[in-house]
Amino acid sequence: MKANKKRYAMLIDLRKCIGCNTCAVVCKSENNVPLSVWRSWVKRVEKGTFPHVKEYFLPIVCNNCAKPICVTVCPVKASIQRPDGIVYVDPHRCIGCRYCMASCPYGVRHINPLTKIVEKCFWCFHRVDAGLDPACVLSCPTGAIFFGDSSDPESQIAKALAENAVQVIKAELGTDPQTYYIGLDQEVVDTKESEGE
Amino acid sequence: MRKNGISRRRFMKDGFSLMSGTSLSLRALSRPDQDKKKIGVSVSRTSLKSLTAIPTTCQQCSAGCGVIAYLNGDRLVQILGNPEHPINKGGICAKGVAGINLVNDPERLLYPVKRLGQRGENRWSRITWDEAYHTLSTRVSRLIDEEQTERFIVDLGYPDFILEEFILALGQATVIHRPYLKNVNRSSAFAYLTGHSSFIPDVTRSRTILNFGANPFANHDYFVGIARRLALARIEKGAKLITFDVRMSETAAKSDEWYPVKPGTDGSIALAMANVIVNKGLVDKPFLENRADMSYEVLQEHLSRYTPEWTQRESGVAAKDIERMAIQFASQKPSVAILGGGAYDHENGYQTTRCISLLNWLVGNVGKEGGIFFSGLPLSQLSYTTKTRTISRLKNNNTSIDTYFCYLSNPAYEDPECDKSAVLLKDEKTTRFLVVMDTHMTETAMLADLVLPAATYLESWGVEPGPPLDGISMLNLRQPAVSLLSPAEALRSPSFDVGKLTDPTFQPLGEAKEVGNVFLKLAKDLDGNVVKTLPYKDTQDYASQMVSLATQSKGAFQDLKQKGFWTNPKSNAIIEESLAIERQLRLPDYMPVNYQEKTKPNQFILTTFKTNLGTKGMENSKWAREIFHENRLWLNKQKAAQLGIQNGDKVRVSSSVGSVILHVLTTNRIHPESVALAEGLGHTAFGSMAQARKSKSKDRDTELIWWGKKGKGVNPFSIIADRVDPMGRGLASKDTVVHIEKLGE
Repeated sequence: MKANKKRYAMLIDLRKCIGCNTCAVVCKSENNVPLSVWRSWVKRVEKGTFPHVKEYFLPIVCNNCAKPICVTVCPVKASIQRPDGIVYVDPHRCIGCRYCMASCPYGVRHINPLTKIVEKCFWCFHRVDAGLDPACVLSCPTGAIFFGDSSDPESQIAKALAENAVQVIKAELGTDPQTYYIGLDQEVVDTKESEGE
Repeated sequence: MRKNGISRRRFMKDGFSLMSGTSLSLRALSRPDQDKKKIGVSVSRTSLKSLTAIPTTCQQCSAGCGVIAYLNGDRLVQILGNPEHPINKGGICAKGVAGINLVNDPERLLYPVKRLGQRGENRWSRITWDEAYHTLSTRVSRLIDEEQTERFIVDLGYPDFILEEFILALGQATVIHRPYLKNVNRSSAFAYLTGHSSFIPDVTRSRTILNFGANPFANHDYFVGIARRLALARIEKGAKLITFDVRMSETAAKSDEWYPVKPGTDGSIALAMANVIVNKGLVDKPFLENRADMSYEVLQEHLSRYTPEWTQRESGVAAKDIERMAIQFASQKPSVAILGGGAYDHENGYQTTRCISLLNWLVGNVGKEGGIFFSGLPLSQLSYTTKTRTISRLKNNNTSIDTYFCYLSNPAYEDPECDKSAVLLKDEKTTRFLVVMDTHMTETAMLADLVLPAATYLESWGVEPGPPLDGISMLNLRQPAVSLLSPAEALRSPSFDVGKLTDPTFQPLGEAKEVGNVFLKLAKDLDGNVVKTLPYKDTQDYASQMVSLATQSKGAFQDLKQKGFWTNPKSNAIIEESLAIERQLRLPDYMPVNYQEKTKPNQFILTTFKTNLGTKGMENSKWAREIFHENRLWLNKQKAAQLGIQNGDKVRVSSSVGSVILHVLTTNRIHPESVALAEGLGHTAFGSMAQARKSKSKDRDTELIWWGKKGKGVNPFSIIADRVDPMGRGLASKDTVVHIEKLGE
């Protein structure tokens, strides 16, 4: 019965993020993501005026929402939510119509330029099912990303979620995102990325 | 030639027992057990089969991270961190992951070629290795016969120890040792003070960390190892990190406080803080008197002129902040001061290093938890023979160049005033014969007479001591993850499975060779004294012999091949003597850098910085270039408004040596006297990725290059003046004065 209740979640401790792009690159490598599209990236935002200025790093992955709009809108049921909460696209069903991309409030889905079907971050479930961490979780040089079964109170992620003040992106939309952050600044979410570095 | 430094063989034999480990109790520094996840395992995304795992050591920088190369059949498909490795604990950086691009790059150099037509014409003829060996051995043996081996110039971009032994055996070859030259202002000052070339800051246990111009969150000698420990110290242990830097680096962004300083003035800040510490009586007196042999009264007298008010005028950091931070540094202990190129790549870099080191002596943190300890790692013997840095300086010294050999170095791109170097390398009167051994067609290779394909670190054997973070002395093994055998060679090899030739994943990687094997063969061909001092069959034999020497155990090499590293069981034995500061301290002074050309409001001091993805080996990496392909000129926002320059405007940036045209990034994250430019872009060679140009290849990603409109960036070294610190004799690459001129569209 416990197995059915499994609910995966991710927690990114922004205080430890150093903006190094390792998560973005290891995702390309793990999932064979072609150039020009991303399943994971780091947003950089500058705030303040000299010398009282700050720079923020915000790694973005799919929120694998508990109430995923993308799953609801898909006309061919190619976007699927697994019982453990992971949302993925079945490449054999997807027809590349992009409804899901239009509906996603987080912009984390993309069309693969080579296969013309929709892809997204699915927390490396091929690794997770084999008992491994998602590639970005293992690789983060400062250990800022955590992943696990949030329904198991003994798991590290459940404890971390309970012990820290955590935030999600766009909580007000009611999608119930399952990628949590420590130290998320709402203004950073709303600000356009600083360009051209 | 051998009088300085210890030989590598001797270090391997004795070094590990002498190595200054610490007696600090070493708590395991890992992320709490990840719910018992499997380690050292990876699966194929499509077949879900386990992948073959080969533990080895990364070589994208000097940090010595343990990585695991994963193979699907014979094809390298992924590189991840080794979770058991004491330095990086499974963490890795973006360029470590992107190492795979280096191996699988369709535009990689795979065969030896010689020039056709004029130099730089880019017309080549493929030759055999036999012809290449013959050409090289003929030239070198003639130089030996004529006793002119100093006319053999070896320009080393990365240390290779067989090559270094070859050069030493040859006698007087001229060496440009780039890894050493990079930090020579710091290492020479530090060697003078302590007898050691570098130190390890034990940041995990520090409570206060002062960072002068280093950027360990993006680029550092011990990058992932130190970034991980700093982030943990700050977040889990509440340590305070304070950064002084002309621009807001990634480290500054993640510091508790950032102070934008006027370029080249870090030493003045350190001295003023020392002044406060001494006057408030916060000095560790027993340490100072017993270990550093320094008199308190003399110190007080010496520092009296370096007041916080004085440095406020010099550096722009407020006196009250200096005073507060100095008190914190000396009372919230353990504390440590670290430094990077931002502080010492200046004409006063040697003195600045000494000023900052003084802060560490004053709080007596040497050999203590949370302070510094010495790595015990020797400088390469060759580094002591490095007398000069660029080909134009060689020419000024009247060194007549017979054969100029570059290994993983690219003087026509990376020298200050690189265009001048390129002209001299191209000129057959100055450079009689130019050989480049690299993984790619570099800017220098384009000018060469002979170009040799180098094996990447993922195809090579090697063994090197890892930086002893946490005081653990260790040895890292590098072993080939990918086979370099050609089909013909493979068939001759007794261990080769013939069935692989029909395996679609089997892709022989051409004729690239390890530089060590090339020089062993050359030594054999020369058949003189050289060969006698190189008692190795090949690079694997070399690695195996070094491991036996260091571990004093015959079976250790097999173990290392399984694990990728070896930790010294004796590393907790503290050798007090080796921690003592060996020489009497002379007190450092502040020497302002001379920026007298800077007189007008549109003139700035150009600082450069390395991003995590802009380093050697990453030039033509698709994942690196997709993220980092444009380097705009950082200009302070208020300053830009005064000059009528807006974000994105096109400008010409000119120095005494040249000019570049680029776009401006107006930002609040830089000192108004300074402008900043990232290194690693603006290539005219390499391939599609480096040049932001679509092409067809067996990797379809080359057709998907999307940043072509933004261009390929500019190379800062074409406008950086070849200035040196007269005392440290190292680069003063962050002292170039430039002026900015707005251009129309």
